[in-house]
Amino acid sequence: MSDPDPTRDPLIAQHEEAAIDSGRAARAANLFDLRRMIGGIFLIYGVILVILGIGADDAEIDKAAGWNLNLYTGLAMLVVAAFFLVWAFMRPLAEELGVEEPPEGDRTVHGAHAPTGPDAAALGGSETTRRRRRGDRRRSRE
Amino acid sequence: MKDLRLDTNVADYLILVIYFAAVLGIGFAARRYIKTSLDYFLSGRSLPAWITGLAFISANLGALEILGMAANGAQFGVATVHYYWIGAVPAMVFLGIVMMPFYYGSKVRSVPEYLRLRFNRPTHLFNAASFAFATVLIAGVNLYALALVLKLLLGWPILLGIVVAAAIVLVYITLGGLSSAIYNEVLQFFIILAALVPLALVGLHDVGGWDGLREAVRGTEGGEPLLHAWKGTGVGNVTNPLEASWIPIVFGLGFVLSFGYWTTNFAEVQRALSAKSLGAGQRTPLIGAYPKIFIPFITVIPGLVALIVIPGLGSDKPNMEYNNAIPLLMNEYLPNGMLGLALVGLIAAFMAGVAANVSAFNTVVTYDLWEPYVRSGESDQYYIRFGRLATVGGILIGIGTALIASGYDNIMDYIQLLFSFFNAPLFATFIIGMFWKRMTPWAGFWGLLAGTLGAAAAHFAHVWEIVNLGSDQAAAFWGAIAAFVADALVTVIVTLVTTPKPVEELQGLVYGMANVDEHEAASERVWYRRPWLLGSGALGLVIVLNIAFI
Repeated sequence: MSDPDPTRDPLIAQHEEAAIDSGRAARAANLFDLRRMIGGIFLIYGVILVILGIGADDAEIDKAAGWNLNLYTGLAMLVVAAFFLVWAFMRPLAEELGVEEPPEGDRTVHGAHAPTGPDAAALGGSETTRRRRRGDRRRSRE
Repeated sequence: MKDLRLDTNVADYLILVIYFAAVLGIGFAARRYIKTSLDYFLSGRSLPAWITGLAFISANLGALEILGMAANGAQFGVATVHYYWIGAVPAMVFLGIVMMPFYYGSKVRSVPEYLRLRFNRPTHLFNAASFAFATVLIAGVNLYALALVLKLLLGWPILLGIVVAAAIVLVYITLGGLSSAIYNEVLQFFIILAALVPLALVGLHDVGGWDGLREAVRGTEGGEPLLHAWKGTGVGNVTNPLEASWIPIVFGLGFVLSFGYWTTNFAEVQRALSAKSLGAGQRTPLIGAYPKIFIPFITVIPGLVALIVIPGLGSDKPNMEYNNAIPLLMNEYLPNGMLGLALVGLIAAFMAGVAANVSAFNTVVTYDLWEPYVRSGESDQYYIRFGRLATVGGILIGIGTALIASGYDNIMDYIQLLFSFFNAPLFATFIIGMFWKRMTPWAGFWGLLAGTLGAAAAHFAHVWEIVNLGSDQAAAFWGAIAAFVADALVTVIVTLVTTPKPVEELQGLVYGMANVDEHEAASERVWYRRPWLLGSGALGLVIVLNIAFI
């Protein structure tokens, strides 16, 4: 998608130019990490539910057909929180998006270190890196 | 009469307050990264596929959908799965594999904009204006429905509920634009799962597992037919609870309605357009298809459980409407804490419904109405400012709609009906326009108009009892078929008598001339990211499940 305006439509072209000029890929790297947000809120909710579950009385357990629902749900939420937080900290967003500039012409090496697994596409790859380089060059000329 | 007021305590409110804080935090965080109008309206086309894929599914997983599908589960039983397995997944796969290359490759910023490039300005204006109009009203319907649930469950006055929810959505969309809408949708998706999965499991446990549930359902008035998806759908021998044969189910719901909604509704497609590459855009609906396949387990099962454990559900008694199946179950089973979580899940789902519509509305109003028809050639910054104003305007209209709806009960149904009139024929115009280069600009306009009228005609034929189309659901399926046929017929006739566009103006817009990404990253070509593989996996799963629940 290197051509900024494949449709040659004047209304679209203007905004595509604005986006490229402002170096959008560099900004993408800055986008706050949703994985930490989800992990964080599940951690807090999980802790609250586990505490409530530990203090559950018989009436509450009877209500939920004999299950300590707060405790079980809280524990499950903690597992989900751990998954997101571990994922986010194992592969920080900045690293995923290639903020540490690899040497020019080093794309194959960069590719070799690219994340693998189902989430890899999710978090960057050389398309973003390429765009960002273009943005950087543009800025360095200014 | 059963009081639905939840016995909430401080733990529940704590959970609610934490959620509101997180939502607003996302808005403020997203605000820092908005530099251009594409950032505001399309998240700078930078989001990874797992985020856009989950947002794609949760933009549709509003609370109206959750409460409505649980209600269908109680009323129609297992046949409700048609809304997912026939009525969503095939269309999502089609969008990802066939249509995304045209949407993403042509760099259009909205669905109506595709019509401007492929056809002409009248077609574009008709679609953009009707979409903007219907969308902002749907946002209002969501607001009102949220306020109703808050009143029922927490005793909040309707007006307070409307204003609080509108204010929160206003803040996070105005600040963060589409990024903040999408991030909140994904967060909401996980919270609603955290609330509904335990609710479905505890309900199932209480009635003695799946076998116990089946045994108990056989003993209800609806009986055995409630347990089958396809039994009793033979033409001339319709005995299933939906009162529809396989023809309206497959062609009306599965083909026209579903493809019309999932492939042309901008509130959905916008999520895929915000993906970071064509490959990620294609994967967006394909990744969304997998959770969609399993959502019936957390809507239909609670519906059926409610049918058994809540005596009198579906009767005329106050608060016993089928739509209250999930709130009634929450009251039945959930202890404080979980109750707050379920409440947050519902509120989050409602706000996501409002936000998805408002963020599609502001984009269409800015890029498809204001820029081309009112003030062209302003700076990019000007259009961001205008987009923020459009957001405020959209939410104010939504509040107005919600207030009117609170005075007139039936208005919600009318608005959804109106939306279906505009939406049903769109798929015919898109599919013919994409695959038939000869189709002329004016055929686009007259086809859409004829399809809209066709849907309306079928509806009134049903309500005035001119023809017998079965239940209201079955009539809606037939209406969609009528819209499609009328649109297609008029499109072909008008094409034959008007002049087509020169072929070079159709680059990137029609089949055989899609713009391809020549610099496609190596990571896009990994086998498990191939669109056709993800797509056939989803379709295969759907076939297996349909056989299992036949």
